[in-house]
Amino acid sequence: MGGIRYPAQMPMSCSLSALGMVNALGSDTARIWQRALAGDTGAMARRPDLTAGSQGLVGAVDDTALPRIPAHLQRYDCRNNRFTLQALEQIESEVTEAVRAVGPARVGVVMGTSTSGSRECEAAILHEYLHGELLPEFRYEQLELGGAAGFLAELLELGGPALSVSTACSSGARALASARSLLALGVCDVVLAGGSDSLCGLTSHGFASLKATAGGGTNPFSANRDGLNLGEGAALFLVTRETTGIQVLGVGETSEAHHISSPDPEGSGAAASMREALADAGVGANAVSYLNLHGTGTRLNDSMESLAVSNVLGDALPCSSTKPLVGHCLGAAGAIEAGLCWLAIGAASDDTLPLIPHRFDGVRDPELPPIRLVNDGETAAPGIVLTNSFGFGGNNCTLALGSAPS
Amino acid sequence: MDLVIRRFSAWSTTGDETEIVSDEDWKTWAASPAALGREGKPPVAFLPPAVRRRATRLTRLMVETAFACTTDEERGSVRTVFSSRHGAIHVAIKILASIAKEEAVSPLQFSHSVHNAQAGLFSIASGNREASSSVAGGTDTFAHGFLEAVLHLERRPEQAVLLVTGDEPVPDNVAHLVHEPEAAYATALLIARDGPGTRLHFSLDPKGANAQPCAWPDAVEFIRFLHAGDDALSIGRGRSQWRWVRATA
Repeated sequence: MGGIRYPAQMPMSCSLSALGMVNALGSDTARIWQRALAGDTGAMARRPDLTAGSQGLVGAVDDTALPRIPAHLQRYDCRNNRFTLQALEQIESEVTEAVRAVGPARVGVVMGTSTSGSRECEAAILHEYLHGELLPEFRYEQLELGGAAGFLAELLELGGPALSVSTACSSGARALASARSLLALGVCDVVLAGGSDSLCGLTSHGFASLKATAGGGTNPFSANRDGLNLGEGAALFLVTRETTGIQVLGVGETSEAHHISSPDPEGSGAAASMREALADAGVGANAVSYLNLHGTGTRLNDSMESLAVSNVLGDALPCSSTKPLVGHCLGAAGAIEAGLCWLAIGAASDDTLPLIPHRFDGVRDPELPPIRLVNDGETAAPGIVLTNSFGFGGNNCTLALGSAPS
Repeated sequence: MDLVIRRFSAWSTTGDETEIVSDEDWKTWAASPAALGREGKPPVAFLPPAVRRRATRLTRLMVETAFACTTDEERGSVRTVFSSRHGAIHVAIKILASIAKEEAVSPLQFSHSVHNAQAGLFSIASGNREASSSVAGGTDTFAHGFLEAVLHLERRPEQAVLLVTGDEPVPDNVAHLVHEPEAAYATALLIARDGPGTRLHFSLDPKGANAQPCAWPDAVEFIRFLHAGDDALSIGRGRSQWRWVRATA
């Protein structure tokens, strides 16, 4: 029996041992890191073919070389799962070795997603509208949220849990929190965890209906900001109990009790989430080297997040939003942004942490509490890295990542 | 792993649409369980009228049982897990139909199309600012929701977790693709590490033989198990078997 036990004392280590990732910047982590560090916004483009209903730029994945879903798993075929499969292929040897070492029964999957197969369902429903019946090849597993994790578990013939987490834009971060607890409880010895989401009509029309999408490029913390750019992609971590390498050191998670689709303007839920992540990691604000902002580029997020950051972390901590580079990847955003932080920590030397610059038009909104936005070529002393994810329904999650304490 | 079910509640209807709400109703149902109804709609009388008017059936089901399972004080202080296989599929399919017809998408509908809409509305209605996750696990959604609740206990052993599970029959146009007993129902379990209540040992057996699937949702089978006083319960419609054993002490 897979006995479940509470930890005797402190939670054991939670290592992000390998990372596969695909987003607008590229389909391998080397290329993604190179472009992210350069602050390359060149991947953002208008794609009416992928986002009917939205005028602004989006961060679309180059889908010309996406892998095919194996024939026996066609019922899981959707753009999201193709992203996940591409991310998996990048770390296939590490995953195979880890699964072999502990046995497939001890391996679990946690995936964050908000769209799952909404894109494929949209095509099926359009077919129904035009021809009176759903696309004949449409399957429920393509659409359902559980398919995000179920697909990987079936593909790799794993025996552990296959959990899909869907708390809107904090889903991908939250998946790593669940993965860490699965290891700490002893339910699993290895977990594959991350997030995947695709551009689709539901989200592009939906955010446009809320007047939340930018007319052009997103411009977080600028006086001229006018909304978010959507993005898509997947990030998949191999999560193990290794005591070396890059670790999940802390998790902060709060609800807002405020509004279904807008944050508390005082940023109290966001601030509590960051404070809890620091407390969970057992460090103070002065241990933090960099914060990856939620930074969607909406007026409400700009004001509440800069207020929360200045309250908890002060106005000297280097911060950037990576959404001007890859777009807002919604249910995958928390995993993708944790992935970008993972790449930064991995690229650090003993005394230098490279930082991803904050791209905007440079016109700081004077009404916002001052936070320090990263300039080109800036570095920091290595330390804890935080990443913020805030979602609809008032669901906040902050992850604290860093190298294993030596 | 050992835990305590401190309190539980459930809401559904019988096949002839008679409400099953109170402990007595559920004890009667558990004595001769049968398939559940597809239509029930709890009153959620405690919600402000404007919120109640907009509440979907799933929101009514989940929020009603969440409130029934908690005191005022608990409601503001528990962590929450909301688990649902289908979530807001009725809202999502309405939006996709609007898109197909090239009609405007309603911002209100879009805001309520997220899987954590019920969790968000519960947080707002109860003033709860604690951690909350919303999950799905295909045909084994209840078991995965239970697991996520246990993962919250790992992070904060001293804080009880409210697990709310619910679904309703999927829209007619996709019904032929879903092969699982469907009903309009929700259940709520207040789960803690210790304290008064039903003590259980919970485990996952990846190689376990599939349990005999019941004709009602797994979450309701768990309520039947609690009322019937059985020694153990095994559930598993997918790759694994999940098992709860009542502690004898």
